[in-house]
Amino acid sequence: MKINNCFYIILLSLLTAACSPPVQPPASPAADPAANVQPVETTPVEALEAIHITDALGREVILDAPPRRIAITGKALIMILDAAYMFPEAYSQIVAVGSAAQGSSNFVALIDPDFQEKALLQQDASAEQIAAVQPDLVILKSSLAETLGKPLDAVGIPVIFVDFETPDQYARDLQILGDVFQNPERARELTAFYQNRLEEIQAVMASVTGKPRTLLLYYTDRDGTIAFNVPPMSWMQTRLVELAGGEPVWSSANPGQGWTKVSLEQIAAWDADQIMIVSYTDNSSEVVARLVTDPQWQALRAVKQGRLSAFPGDFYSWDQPDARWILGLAWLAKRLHPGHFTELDITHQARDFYQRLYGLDPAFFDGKILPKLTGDLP
Amino acid sequence: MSASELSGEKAWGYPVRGILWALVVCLLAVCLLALLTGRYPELGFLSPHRIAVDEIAWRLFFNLRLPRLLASLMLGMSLAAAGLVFQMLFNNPLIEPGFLGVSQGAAFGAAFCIVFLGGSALAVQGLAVLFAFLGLGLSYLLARRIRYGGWVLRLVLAGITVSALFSAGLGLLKYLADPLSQLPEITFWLLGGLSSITWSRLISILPAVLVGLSVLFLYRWRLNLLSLNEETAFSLGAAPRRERLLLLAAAVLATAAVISVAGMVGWVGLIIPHLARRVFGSDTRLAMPGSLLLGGIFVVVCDTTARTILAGEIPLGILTSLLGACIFLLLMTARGFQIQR
Repeated sequence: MKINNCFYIILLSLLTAACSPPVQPPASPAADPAANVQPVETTPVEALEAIHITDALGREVILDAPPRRIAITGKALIMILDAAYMFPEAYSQIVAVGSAAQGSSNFVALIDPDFQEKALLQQDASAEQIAAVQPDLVILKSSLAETLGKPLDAVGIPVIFVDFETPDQYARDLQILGDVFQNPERARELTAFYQNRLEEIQAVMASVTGKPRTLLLYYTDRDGTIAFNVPPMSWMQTRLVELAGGEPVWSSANPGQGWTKVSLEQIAAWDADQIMIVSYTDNSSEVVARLVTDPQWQALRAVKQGRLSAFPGDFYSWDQPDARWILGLAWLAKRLHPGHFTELDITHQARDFYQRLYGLDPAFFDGKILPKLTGDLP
Repeated sequence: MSASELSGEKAWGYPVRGILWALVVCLLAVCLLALLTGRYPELGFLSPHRIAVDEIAWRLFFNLRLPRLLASLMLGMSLAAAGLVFQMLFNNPLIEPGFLGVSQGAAFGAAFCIVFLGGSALAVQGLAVLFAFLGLGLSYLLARRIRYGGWVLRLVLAGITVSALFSAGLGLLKYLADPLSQLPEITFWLLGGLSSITWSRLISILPAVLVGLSVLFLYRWRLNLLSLNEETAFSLGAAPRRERLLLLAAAVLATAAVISVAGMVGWVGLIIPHLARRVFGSDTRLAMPGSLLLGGIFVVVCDTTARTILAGEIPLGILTSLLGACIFLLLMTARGFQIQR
């Protein structure tokens, strides 16, 4: 056979294969008792009603039956996982998770006694690797719709997309999780919790005059190089400063959509009334303790007046769009307007938060979570 | 040299036709192994029996692994064939599509579309192709305006400059991109990978790849003439300017199409043509099919490794660079090595 003919055969094969439509599996695959296949136990489909869920992308996902094997993975999954564990059903129905650690902390591993039995997926696990744990539903951030959502669709695994990035999205996405776990009542309770806490703060804010000029800085010392970064205007961190009655001084400094590095010269030029330091890998209190001894930082007005604060956190920093953002908001509001929030006890708020959202009793909080609290808490 | 003489040629003591057929068999075997290897249901082989009885395995095999395999074949063949064409036409064994602004141009075009135009798959691919051609065109025009050095030096300098310009633009786009939705997509361009390949994406690049590869394959014998200087090629009956342009366009078309879905996958376009010429000599009638087959085998092996060995997927570009650099080192240090062009 000539080389030309061989080439044409390869091209024709490629063309034929690629022009085939997506292949559907046989309607009822031949069962073979000798097959080494161990299907996952699921509730009989015919006994249950189909579930219709509209996700964050506006897609209507139809599930034949309530999901019993849920996988949560992909980038920024902490937000989804911490919200999902507010539903009691999550403990048994979530069977696979990506890495939920930030720094050395993993909150879900602490509260779920069966966490070690769950399949651990890499943060960048592919559709095939996710399929290997045989989930009947995967929950992802909507930013992964193109790269991971489509391949999962091709395998026939249903996917629900959520965002959990802003206070408004929290209300919507908690409803979506309520549909997933077939517990809309719990979703309403959780939404009401966030809404009530937010309204309490906004009610106090109505009587506040003047907005302190506030600077929120994310501290990193990656590769031994210290850097300070400001968030974009669309992010939760900026939104928290605004909701807490502060004026973000960096509003004109971040045209991008990610953290933007700023110099000490620029920090000095802003001359903020309040400076908040956030750290995701270090203890923010220790970072602030180091900064106040730095001669250059000592020259800043906010530092001289004792208004350099470490943003609090426990397992995760409270400034993020994680379930704890409501605690971060309360702390920030009190820090910016201490005279208006004299009765607000952040530790008490945190204890109540964990009890009502995760069912953790005060003794558990005092023993396991209180020692993890960092930041400038009174 | 006639076709019959060609078929009687030997490489390393074996008939070249025999080696080509051995490569075809090797490619088929590698493809079969790649289709059956993965991490479902556990790390190792997926038995045909399981494919028949397990719905997920069935879908995985036909809707993920098969399109991905075909995409990796197209990627390897396109980059290798384009690399050979570039190296022959520019008389420079160190040139690959990435050296002339094509890869960086395609990545910039895709990133521009992701950040400013919404990033639909078709638009991303269209803009990647457009900017790939723009990269090549700018390199070519700039090389003509440089007033010192030989043609090859000028072209390489121009290509480096244009690539750097597009790299800077890409950096700016990364800075402006949404870190949650847009930045991961752009990062994909820099590392390369086939994890998001589906049938629809594969079909969208198929016409460009088939047209590009067909032209390169059918004109492979003209490459021998076109690698000569302008006067000699003309005296032998070629229309050097028109034919070079046609071959370059075909090479860039195929390259841009595969890059638009796979991102920047380095070293394939450099190392595979070298390897092909090492085995089949500088005659492009043999080196071209050799490059196509070797390119296909190389990328299929790399992609299967990338999606299999770790629980998380290794970016394809990292593996091709690692293996490519090792092979290049071996080739360069092997006794009796000569660069043939």
